[in-house]
Amino acid sequence: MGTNLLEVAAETWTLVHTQRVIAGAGDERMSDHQALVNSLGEYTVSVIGSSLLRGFTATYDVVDGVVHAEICLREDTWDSRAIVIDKMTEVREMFLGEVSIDYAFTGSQDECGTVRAADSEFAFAI
Amino acid sequence: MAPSALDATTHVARAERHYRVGTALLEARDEWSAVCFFYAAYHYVKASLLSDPIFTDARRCARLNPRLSLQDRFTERHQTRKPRGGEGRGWGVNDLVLLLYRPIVGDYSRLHTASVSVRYYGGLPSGSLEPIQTSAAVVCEAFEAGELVAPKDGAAS
Repeated sequence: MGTNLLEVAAETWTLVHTQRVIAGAGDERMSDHQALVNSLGEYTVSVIGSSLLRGFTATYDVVDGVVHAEICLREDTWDSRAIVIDKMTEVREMFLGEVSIDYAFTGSQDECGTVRAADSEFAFAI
Repeated sequence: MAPSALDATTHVARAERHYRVGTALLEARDEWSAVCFFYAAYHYVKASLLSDPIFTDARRCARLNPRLSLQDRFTERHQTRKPRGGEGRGWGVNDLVLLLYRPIVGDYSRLHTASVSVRYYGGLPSGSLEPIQTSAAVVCEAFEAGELVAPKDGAAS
């Protein structure tokens, strides 16, 4: 697991770092917390994987120091949730020094449409 | 941060009551059993935090995490974090479980997300209730076995 996680982390860092460079070229005002949410979002999506994940959104509450995330699964079963919860433990541990991560499953595919992508600072959808 | 309103003994009594109600609701196949089982786990963890020796030693707290303080044992929130170099509310219970009680973090996280799904979202997938009871039993048994204590060497196990 360790090797794979490190590889994923390295790939994610490269992707996010590239995004930061691109963003920095066009928008000098990209905030630290936006960069954190982007990094966390990209990393989470890579760890969970598109075979399980249908959508993911995240928003940073700067007052509480908490990233609130919503997870929409391709197949909402208890087994899928259990796998994702274990993967989210890896993500929470990775970001433990920076932020607390609060997440919820949005349930059925119908409810995935209610994921508030427009209000989120990071959004991923297939 | 205000001290916890309940002492450890009262937290355990609340945990045992929530566990019994959760079991009764499970027998009735009611998804609210998940909420009761989560709050049973929450109170077992709160009782553990109040009596954990790490919170009598500021240096041990700092060795485990530079931003962990003696007052964090009194946290009343599930999720919060003091920003680096800023003011804030310290740690939430969920992250203290991740930091201090690693053997139960998976089960505690399952219980918390299940409780949130029942209270704020569309409920639970079918086949969830028994695994949720199992997770509650894991937390309960770890508490009763005296296993909910921070690792002695300062590193999370």
